[in-house]
Amino acid sequence: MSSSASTSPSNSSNSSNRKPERLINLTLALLATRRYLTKAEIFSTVAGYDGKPETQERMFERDKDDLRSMGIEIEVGNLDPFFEDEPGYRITSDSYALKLSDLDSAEVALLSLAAGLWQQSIISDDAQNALRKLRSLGIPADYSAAGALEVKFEQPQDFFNGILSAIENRKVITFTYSSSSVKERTVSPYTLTLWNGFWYLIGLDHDSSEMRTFKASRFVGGVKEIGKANAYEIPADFRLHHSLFRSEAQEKKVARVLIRKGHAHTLRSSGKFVEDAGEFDRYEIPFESATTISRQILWHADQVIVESPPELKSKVIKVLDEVLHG
Amino acid sequence: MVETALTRTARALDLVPFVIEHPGISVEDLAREFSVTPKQMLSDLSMIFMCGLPGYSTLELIDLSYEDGYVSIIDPQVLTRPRNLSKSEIVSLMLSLESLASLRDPTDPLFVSIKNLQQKLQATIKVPLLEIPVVIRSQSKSEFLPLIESAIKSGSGLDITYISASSDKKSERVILPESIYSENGFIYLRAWCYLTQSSRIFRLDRIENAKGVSIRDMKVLSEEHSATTENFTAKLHINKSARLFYEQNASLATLESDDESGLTISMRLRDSEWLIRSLMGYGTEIQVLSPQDLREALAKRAQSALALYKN
Repeated sequence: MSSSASTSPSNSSNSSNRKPERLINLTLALLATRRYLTKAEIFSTVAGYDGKPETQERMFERDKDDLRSMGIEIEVGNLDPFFEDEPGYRITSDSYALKLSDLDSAEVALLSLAAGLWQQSIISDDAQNALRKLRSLGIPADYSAAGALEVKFEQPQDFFNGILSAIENRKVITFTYSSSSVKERTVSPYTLTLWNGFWYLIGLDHDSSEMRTFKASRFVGGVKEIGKANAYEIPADFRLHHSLFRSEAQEKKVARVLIRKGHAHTLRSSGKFVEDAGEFDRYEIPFESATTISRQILWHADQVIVESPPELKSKVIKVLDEVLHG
Repeated sequence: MVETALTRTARALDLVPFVIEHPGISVEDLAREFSVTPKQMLSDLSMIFMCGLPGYSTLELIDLSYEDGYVSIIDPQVLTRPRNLSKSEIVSLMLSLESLASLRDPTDPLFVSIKNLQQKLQATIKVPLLEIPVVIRSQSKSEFLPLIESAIKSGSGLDITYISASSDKKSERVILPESIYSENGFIYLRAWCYLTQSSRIFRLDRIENAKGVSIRDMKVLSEEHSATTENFTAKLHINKSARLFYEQNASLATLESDDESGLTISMRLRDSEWLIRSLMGYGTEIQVLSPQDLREALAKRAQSALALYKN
């Protein structure tokens, strides 16, 4: 195109371009070569390595780190088996390029829907970048099988990235949290969790030395990392034991209730019919949380009577008393 | 905002393969795609134009045209394929797919497709599962979701057996599904209901049975009935321990105050039945400030429930 195209790249007028240009040129050179390039070859042929040998050396070390931090793998190898002290460098297209070439159009549509879930959040930036790479593969999206469900979740907050990187580096965090009172918490974060459309942090609370669940919307301000990396370990089996993740296979308590005939259909469908008891039917309802089941039972007011367990029965009576007199 | 050299480098490396697949894209569209200003995009393009392979003659430089406002790559040199996904990109996509899957029954064909896709993604870079946020599977999944979605797409009707929680009745009705959405871990279906001749919202886990039905003979009588009249207002005080009640019903409520003693909210509803049934389970955790009728209705119902235990 324009005649200025032949200007030497190192003479580029814009000084803020110098570093990205050099990184791009280095990437291209290392990607184009089959054999390993020595530092000397790189300094003499790749545009942008100006200055004294020490300067070039320093630049190259920093550039390598920068490219690696971008996820670009630089392979180090020996040029000549007889001269092992002379390392060479290259980038294989196998490690550089996206390997997801066997995607079909329905999958591209699914990924687009998935990437669109998080709107304006930080998680969304990563998803959008990923999606753009996938769209650079040239596979059209086909939405005909993608379903019609509109999914609404609480949007991730800005401090999620901080939590994710703290989890990755096993760093302790502090944050201000508002529950029964507004307090500063110190926590070893284990995982972020999306549950019933809302975000939670699960981690080891340092004050109580117990596993705690924190609702993301009750954080006041952001999170701060404290101390060193690898400050704690996440037990590989903690997901098996944490109550939030417990599946139905785990042992549950059972409530025995009387349900007035022809009533409380939602409660009936969550339990098991035991026997006919005249004006009522006797049912067994499995439950995990006494608070949750008591609310489900109280929804039906005088259509349901709790028989057992006694703790549940007295809880229901207590709440009814409160409603009557409170 | 000052951009780092790395952000620009990454964008440049991603730009080239993207334009190869979208030749002739306008500078504006390309800028939007990469979330930068058109000015920044032009500066990126002119920078890329300066880069290439050792030698750096016109034959070795990346060649592209953009001066007429439309971008095409003439020679990408070695940048023909998109870069591999980064770890945080994989985490983000895995999380998003898991969220979509969490609302679906394992028998749903889309659930199976999502799981297959996740395996493909995991194969590109190994990310420790511990570092991907967990999505807890919704408890209100419905085996009828694929049937309902296809009814929405084809505009056909369904014959459903539905348990209504607030009227506590089970009924069979013909509906014309309009849209379907998830909220607070539940899936809701908005549909025209021929039984009540109104637009209604159904919770999917309360649909006991569903099958396709021809509704060619049934006419929508009047859309006017669908206008829900919210003519009941209540003011509540919620202790901190019951804060979740507000959070889950935030769309129906207006927050009036939030301090050490708890929250004060007002709610606008179509009728009081839902609220009476909900509040029954909270005792002193939620107090009704007004109206007086609501307090009396609650007390009366609590009294007749308590009577059952007095034998």
